[in-house]
Amino acid sequence: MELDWSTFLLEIVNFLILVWILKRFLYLPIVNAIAARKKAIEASLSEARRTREEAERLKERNERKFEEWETHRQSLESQLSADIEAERERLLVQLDSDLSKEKARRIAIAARDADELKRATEKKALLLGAAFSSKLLARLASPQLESLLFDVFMEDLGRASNLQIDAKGTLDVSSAFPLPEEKRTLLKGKMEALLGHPLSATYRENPELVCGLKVSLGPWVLDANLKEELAHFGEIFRNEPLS
Amino acid sequence: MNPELSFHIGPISIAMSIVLTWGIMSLLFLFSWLSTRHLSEEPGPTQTILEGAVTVMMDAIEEVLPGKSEMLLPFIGTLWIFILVANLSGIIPGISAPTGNLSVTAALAFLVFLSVHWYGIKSEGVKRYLLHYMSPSPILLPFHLISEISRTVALAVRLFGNIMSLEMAALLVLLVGGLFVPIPLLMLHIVEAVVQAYIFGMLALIYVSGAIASQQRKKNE
Repeated sequence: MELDWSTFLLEIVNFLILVWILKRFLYLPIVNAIAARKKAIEASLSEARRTREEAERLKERNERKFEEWETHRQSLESQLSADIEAERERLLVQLDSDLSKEKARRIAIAARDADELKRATEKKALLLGAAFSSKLLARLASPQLESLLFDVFMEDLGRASNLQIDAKGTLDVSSAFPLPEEKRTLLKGKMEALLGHPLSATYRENPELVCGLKVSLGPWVLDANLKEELAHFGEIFRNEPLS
Repeated sequence: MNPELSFHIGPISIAMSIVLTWGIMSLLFLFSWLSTRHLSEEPGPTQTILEGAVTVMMDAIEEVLPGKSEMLLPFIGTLWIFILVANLSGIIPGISAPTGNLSVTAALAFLVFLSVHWYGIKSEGVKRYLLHYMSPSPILLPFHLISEISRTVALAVRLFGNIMSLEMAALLVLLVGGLFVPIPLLMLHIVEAVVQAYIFGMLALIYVSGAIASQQRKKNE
């Protein structure tokens, strides 16, 4: 146990060399590797933080957008509800109006149908009445009835004595039954009295008149027969044939 | 193997401890070179162990001297590694640990002595560093000097005494008890090798930190 100076000095040199060796080949590479890894980890953490911040920013933006969409959706829903309500009200009003119009139209149609029915009924009744009257008067047609009609004609002619008839020509007298001579004379005399000048007259029988007579002078025609009377009676069905 | 056995290269006598030191240096160089050739950001088992060891050493230095770990790691770390390997080399039959040689431990202790002043002067400058020996009073200068010498001697003798005594005890037990009886003592040798390496390095760190920290305290004041 004594101090050997050469060993002492060599050990100092050896240790200093070993310090250099380990520093060069162990500490520096390891420390650099650790530093590189720390740097990489820091970079990764920084990237992760950046990504997280970006994600949070995106999340906030999406949440904000979602809220905006939600608000917009609610607004649209409200608007849509209001529009639907307004449209419903409008449609209801229009429907009421249409119903009223339809009701009025149906009432008008019903009234028109009723009127038409009434008119048809009346027309049918008149037709029936006319037919009945025609049949009845046709059965009653006779020289006696014709004589009565002649009297009525003459009476009417007497009331029309103030008429100014300016007609010339032959007096054409048609009758359903043969007109007796005295009645021919009476008629001719009456007509000459009305016209104020003598007349030539022709007499003929016309069964179509049913009963009565028809007097023609130029453009003037005077009727006192059942055919014309029934025709007047059924004025509204003038074009309907009497049967 | 007799630690005192030596040979000469010219006028220089080479002790077996120096030869063993060269062997340890060669092994450490080869191991360091081979294991750090292909470092990657995804470490394998060897790289993980190395990084863990370096990190533990840096953390230990950082706890004593915050912010100085990179500066002190080469010296303190090498002390830990070399003394640990040198201590453990004594377990190999026929080999005597270099740290069982007083010249080797004295050289290490002397390097610690020098490093304390080196780092102290590097930290604050010669004048301010030397002034701390007269702090808080110039009367304490002799005590400071005695302290410097005594703790250096203590470093050298502590490591030498522990390792030498362990080897001696193992040899005596081997002689008295037989071939396998010293095995528990060898287990103790391993523990002692680790503890002594740690103590030596830690004391060196504390001494260096004392030199740097005293300057920093003055600076703060």
